[in-house]
Order: sequence, then structure tokens, then C-alpha cells
Amino acid sequence: MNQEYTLFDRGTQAIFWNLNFDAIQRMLDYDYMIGRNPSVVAIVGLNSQRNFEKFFYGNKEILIPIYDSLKKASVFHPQASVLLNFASFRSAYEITKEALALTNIKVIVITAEGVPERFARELSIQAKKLNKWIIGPASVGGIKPYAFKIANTGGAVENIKLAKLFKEGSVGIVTRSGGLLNELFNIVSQYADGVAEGIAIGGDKFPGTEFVDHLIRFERNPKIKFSIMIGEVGGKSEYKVIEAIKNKLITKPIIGWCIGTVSDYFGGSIQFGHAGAKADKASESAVQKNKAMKQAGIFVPNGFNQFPYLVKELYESLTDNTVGNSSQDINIIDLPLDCETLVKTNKARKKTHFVCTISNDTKEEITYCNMPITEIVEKKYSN
Amino acid sequence: MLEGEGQNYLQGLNKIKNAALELGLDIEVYCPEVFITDIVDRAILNKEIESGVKNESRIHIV
Amino acid sequence: MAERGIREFDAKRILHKNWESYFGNKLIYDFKSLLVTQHTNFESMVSEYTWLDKVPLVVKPDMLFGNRGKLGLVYFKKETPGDIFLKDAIEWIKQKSKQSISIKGTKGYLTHFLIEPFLKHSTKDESFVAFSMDEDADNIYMSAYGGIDIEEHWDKTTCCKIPIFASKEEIISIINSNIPSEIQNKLVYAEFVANAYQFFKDLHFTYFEINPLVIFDNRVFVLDLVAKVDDTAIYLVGKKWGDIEFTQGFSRPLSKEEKYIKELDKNSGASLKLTILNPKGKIWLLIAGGGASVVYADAVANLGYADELANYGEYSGNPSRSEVREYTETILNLMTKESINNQKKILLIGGAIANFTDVSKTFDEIIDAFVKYSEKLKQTGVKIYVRRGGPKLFTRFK
Repeated sequence: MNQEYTLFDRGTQAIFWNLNFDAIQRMLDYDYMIGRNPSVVAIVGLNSQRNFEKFFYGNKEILIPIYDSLKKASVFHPQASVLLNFASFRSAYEITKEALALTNIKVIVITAEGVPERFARELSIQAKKLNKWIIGPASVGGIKPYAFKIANTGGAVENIKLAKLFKEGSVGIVTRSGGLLNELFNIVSQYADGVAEGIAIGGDKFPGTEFVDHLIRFERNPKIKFSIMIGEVGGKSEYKVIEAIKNKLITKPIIGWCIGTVSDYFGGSIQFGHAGAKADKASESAVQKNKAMKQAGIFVPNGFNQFPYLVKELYESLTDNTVGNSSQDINIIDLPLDCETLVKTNKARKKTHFVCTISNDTKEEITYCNMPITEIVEKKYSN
Repeated sequence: MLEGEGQNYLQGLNKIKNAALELGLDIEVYCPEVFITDIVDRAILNKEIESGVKNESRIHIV
Repeated sequence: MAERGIREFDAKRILHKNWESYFGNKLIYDFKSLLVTQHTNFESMVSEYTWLDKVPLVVKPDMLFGNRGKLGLVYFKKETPGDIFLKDAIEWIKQKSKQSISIKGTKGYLTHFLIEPFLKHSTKDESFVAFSMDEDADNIYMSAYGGIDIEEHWDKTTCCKIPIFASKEEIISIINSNIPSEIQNKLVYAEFVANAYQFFKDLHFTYFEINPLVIFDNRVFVLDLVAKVDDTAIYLVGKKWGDIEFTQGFSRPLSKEEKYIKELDKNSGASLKLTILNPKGKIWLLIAGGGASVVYADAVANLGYADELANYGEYSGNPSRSEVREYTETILNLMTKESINNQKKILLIGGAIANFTDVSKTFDEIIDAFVKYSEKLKQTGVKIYVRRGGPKLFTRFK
């Protein structure tokens, strides 16, 4: 895996741990819109009544098999290389451990918040030994436009369109927060030519992979011209990036920013942001990190609101393009609307499936054989 | 683009704007195309919200 | 949440509760500690803690701040060490609780104290041991020079790294080969450290420091203990911890509203945070998201308006309708308590583009709160700015 600079492509297949209907449907919607095959090939659901679930892929319905163990799912789908671990904090650790032992699984995304630090640290070390990648815990995931989208990353379809997340751009992004990742998608779509890859590593103290791991990957990806990283108060992650720049492991330009500069105005005594975002040493404060990044040659804005200008400037200096001229828009396949939406907006009508002549719920109160339901209860006919 | 999508897109923000205006509250509402902290500059410095670097009008002030 | 400091009392209680499983009965730890709060009734304590009115005592605040010795907040002598008895201890606590004190710029009151028997010993009996977590290994720090001047003797402290997958034998051998040469009873000290490390690891502590540690023969005296646990592990080791009170420690007194939101947060799967920075401030935040909320606070401070920033806070993790409503009303109530002459107050309703939080639901509740506070908002002169995006604002999704 060391030599590989990208974790996903248009053929990447994933096993989804937990029947999270909305997230899976969003992945399939994205797949359909970029014209690739469904990316979720199996679901692991422990208490599922059925061994499959129906999902839309465009206007067709497809069945995705549900297995009662990860092992079974991976035996039947040996080509699946990604595990989307949507298990709760109670079981995320065990499942990740199990996945690390499976040879076909190369990337594991952990969304649960509240995985004990000692466990998260162990998983991170174990994965690195095996040359595997963990994104998270407490991560929304990430996206490689025109290839693979993890679960809810990017938000609703409209935002994905707005941020041009259907088209591969030339900017690599890595953040802690998932919300800020979306903000950067938006900026990069407006002020550069879009995202090549965006990853949220999560807000935990011991993330499975860190800024530096992904930035080194971005370095090797010829499509990526520059990267953006957004850090938080606390920890040494930003200093590792600085170290990698000094050692020439990273040479491509980076725009970096550490949020939480407000903390200094209040003497560091107030907790801003995630509970884990705490500066144990002066060097871990946002202001100090921003200073250190600047010294190392990272482009550091004066504040978050300077981001758009910096992105534009850097993009234009690296390419001959002026922002806005470069994008040749690709064709995306539009998603059919849901029937309910159309009915709601009076654009379609739907026949009823069956008619019940015994009960009637068209009036204020439901009647059963013409008798209001309250009366049935009051007179205890219901026993 | 699908017909009527623009309307759908603005619906939620419109809802809060209309409710506030009906109550006689002083309010300005911005879409996600507006940069996240631009409302801070707008509120404190009374700075006009710029429409970004592109000419196309991507910014909606509801 | 994650790493949380706990009271010295709780740390010692946990150590004692699990003593036999980790230290067997070769080493003895006599857990004699009494946590005193404003509600402590000493008369009934005397019958329960029989040592309380019989031996000389040491008293100190137990509120998660360090350097108590240097701050003059460890009470162990009037004239000579060990001449403090119960009556003096009660008097001292009474006196210290009355006056507000300032620690690292934070003003507040002392509310929790620890009373323990005074142990007669000399500085050369005081050793030190601490455990911490790094990203690649655990650290063990050992020194024969404990006490309040540990920092000055830091060069005599040995530090060894314990790899994460180290076996018990490997751990013991690493400890044994790193014991400082000045330690008096190396065998007992090494055994104590090895067992305490296992305890630290198994019970999901993230930091654990005993300073000073005194060992007489096989009797262990933990004179001062600082500990942090990873509170996410409560589902695993909550039983072994027993009843921990997670506290902020020494801090300025929380306002009614902050306490209320804290309570909401505690009982919720979502996250709801509120800190009042300046109740008379002009700029109020109602922001979704742990990352975005910081970005907004940064932006206000960056423009030079940190003094005008009234609050910091955030809500995230898909809070319920009633939670958003309560949270919004709390902010609206606070900001409409008084108006500023000729100046409008600013309410910033913002957030990053959500990945899955249902923004529409959130907005419904904010609107309801607007309805309730509309007159007050107008009277106070509040201007509202909104910026947000996310699923279900786009109604395509069901």
C-alpha cells in the first residue's frame, strides 16, 4: 500500500457495517450520478430479519445482500477493499480489529464517536504495521470525486452539485471536522478547479491516520497540485507535517490553518471546540501552530475568512488558468425524484395500492365499520 | 438541472426569513454559497457580501 | 468527551477498590481519605471515620488543580508538622471556603477538600511515579526525588517507554532496568510500579501521577495523586471506577443558564455546550458544529471584537427538537435581558454545511423560539444573521 497514492477508484467496492439506510442510499445515488456501478456490495447487519435490502440505483431497485458477520460478507465479496464501520462506540473497536485481520480489506472508516483512546491508538498502530488505512474514529469519511464517496460526506445531493464533487479537481484536502470539510469543498469549487480527494480524519486524540499520512499520499498523486489542511488546538499533528516538509517528504504547496485562535484572547482557560481539543503545552495552541506552519513555508491565512483568496491565488499561480475558465463540466446523470416529492409538489399523482372498505381514515377521526376509534376504545370493543 | 430545484434549495432558509419578517424581526439570511464567516464581517463591519471571484451570480441573499 | 481529570479522592478510591486485584495482599494500602463538601456533617463523620478525631491531619482542596503546596493550600502544620487536628482542620476549611481565590487567572471559591491522616516522614522517603500516554507508547516516569520540588530534580527522573503490545514480562523487565539507582527499596518500588502500571492501563487512565509516594516496608502511602481517565471507557470499566463525579474542578461559578445547558448535554446523545464570556457583550453565537463554532468565535476575535463576544457554544450530533428549542431559548433569554444604548445586539446563527444533521428541523425550533421572544428581541434591538446549509434544507431527501 505504501506505493499507492490513492485509496479509492471508480471500481472500489465497500462493505457497510450496519444497515444505515440513508447513508447507503446516498452512496448509491452518487454512484448512479457519476455512472459507476454500485459501490456498496454488502451489508453486515446482526439483527436483520432479511438477508437483503432494497435500494434505489437510479430509477431501478437493487438488492444488496445482508450478512450476519463481516467474515461471511468478505468471503462472498473478496473484491471489497473498504469497510465502512458504522458500528457504535461499543463495538467499533472489535469490528475494526476483525477487519484488520481480513486480507481483502485495505481501508476502514470508523464513524463512531467515543471509541476509547487506548483502543483507537492500538488500532492505528496495528493498521500501520499491516499497511492498511484507518480513517476515523469520529469521522464523516471522505470523498474521491468521480470515483467513490464515503457515506454522508458532502451532505445532500444539492451541495454535492454545488461543490462540483462529481468532477475530479486538483486540490487535496484533509481536515478533522466533517462540517469544515464541506466548507472547503465549496471554496475549492469556487476558487480552484475542485477536489481531487477530501478526507476528514476525525476529532479524536489518536486518529487512525493523520494529516501527514494523507498529505504524503497527496504528494505522490500527480493529479494533485496543492493541499489544504485544517487542524485544531491540541496535539502534535501539525508539527509532523512540518517535519515531513523539512525532510522533503512533502514538497507540494500546502495551505494550512489551525482553528481555535480565539482561545488566546481568553488566556487558554476556556474550552473552545471538541472536548479533545485541548492544548497541554503552549506549542499546542492554535496561534503557535499557525506560526510554526508559516515558518515552515506553509501558506497560512490571517484568518479563516482569508481562505478563498489564498486558494485562488495559489491555484492561479500554479496553473495558467484563471479560476472559472478551467472547468470543463462533465455530464452527470440526474437522479430521478422520489414519488413523494413529486406528489408533494403537485407534479405527479399516484394510484392507491389497495382500498380498505372496513376502516376509513379520510376524515378527522379514523372510523372502523363507521364507528369512531375513540368509541371503540371507550366501549372496550377492542378486547 | 431539474426544474424547481432552485426553489427547493432555498425553502428552508426562506422559512426562517419569512417567519422572522412576519414577527417584525430584523434579519438577513444567507445560503451556503456565502462563505461561512462572511456573516461575521457583515454583522460587525457592515461589509457588503461579495459575490466571490466569479462573475456568475452565485450568491443569494434571501 | 475524552480525557477527564478526576478528584484525588476518586482516584484513591478507585485504587483502593481495585487494590487486591492488582497488588494482592503483599503490599498494603490503607485508604484513609475523607472528601469534605459544603454538606459534610463532621459529627456523623467521626463515627464513620474513626481515625478522624484521633490522629494529626492534612487538609487540602480537591478540585483538580495542581501546585497546591506552592499555593499554600496544603494545611499540615501550625507550628510544627503534624499539629493539625480535626478542630483546626474544620476551622481552616471554613475560613478557606469563605474567601474567593484566584488560580491561573480564574476566580472562584474552594468547595471540596480532602482530609487525610498526617504521615510523619522525611523528604528522603518521598519518591515519585507517573504514567502517561503517547501516540506510540505509554510512558513511565520514576524518581527517588519526589515532593513539591520534582521539577527541579527532573534530570534525576528516568523515563521509559512501554510499547503498546508489550507482554507482562517485557513490561517488568523494562521497569526493572530503568529503576533510578537512588531508590531505597528497589524490589518493593519496582513491584509497586509494575502493578500500578497494569492498573493504569486496564482501567483506562490517561494520566496517573503519585507525588510523593512513600513506602514503609510493605505499606504504601499515596500522599498526593493526580489522575485523568478516558471517560469514553465508562461502558467498559465503569464498574471498576465506581461512582465518579466528573467535575470541572476549580472554576468560576457557573451561571444558572450554563448549568442548565450542561444538564441538557449530560442527558443527551447530542452535544450542547454553552460558556458565557461576557453577559454584557454585543455579539451572541448560536452555532451548530464543534468545528464551525470555533471558526465563528475565531472570526469575531480576529476582527478585534473578543471583548464583545458574549458567549461561546455549539450544538451538534443531530439534537432533538426540544433540545434545540431549549438551547435557542436560553440564548435568546440571556441576550434580551438588557439592551445597549443606541446599539444593536447581533445574533449570529450559523454553522458549516451539515453532512447529515437535519437543518430544517433545527430551523423549525429556532423559529418557534423567535415567536416566543419576538417582543423582547425587538425591544432589545437585536439584528439576526443566518447562514447555514445541509441535508433537508434541500428537500429532495426524505
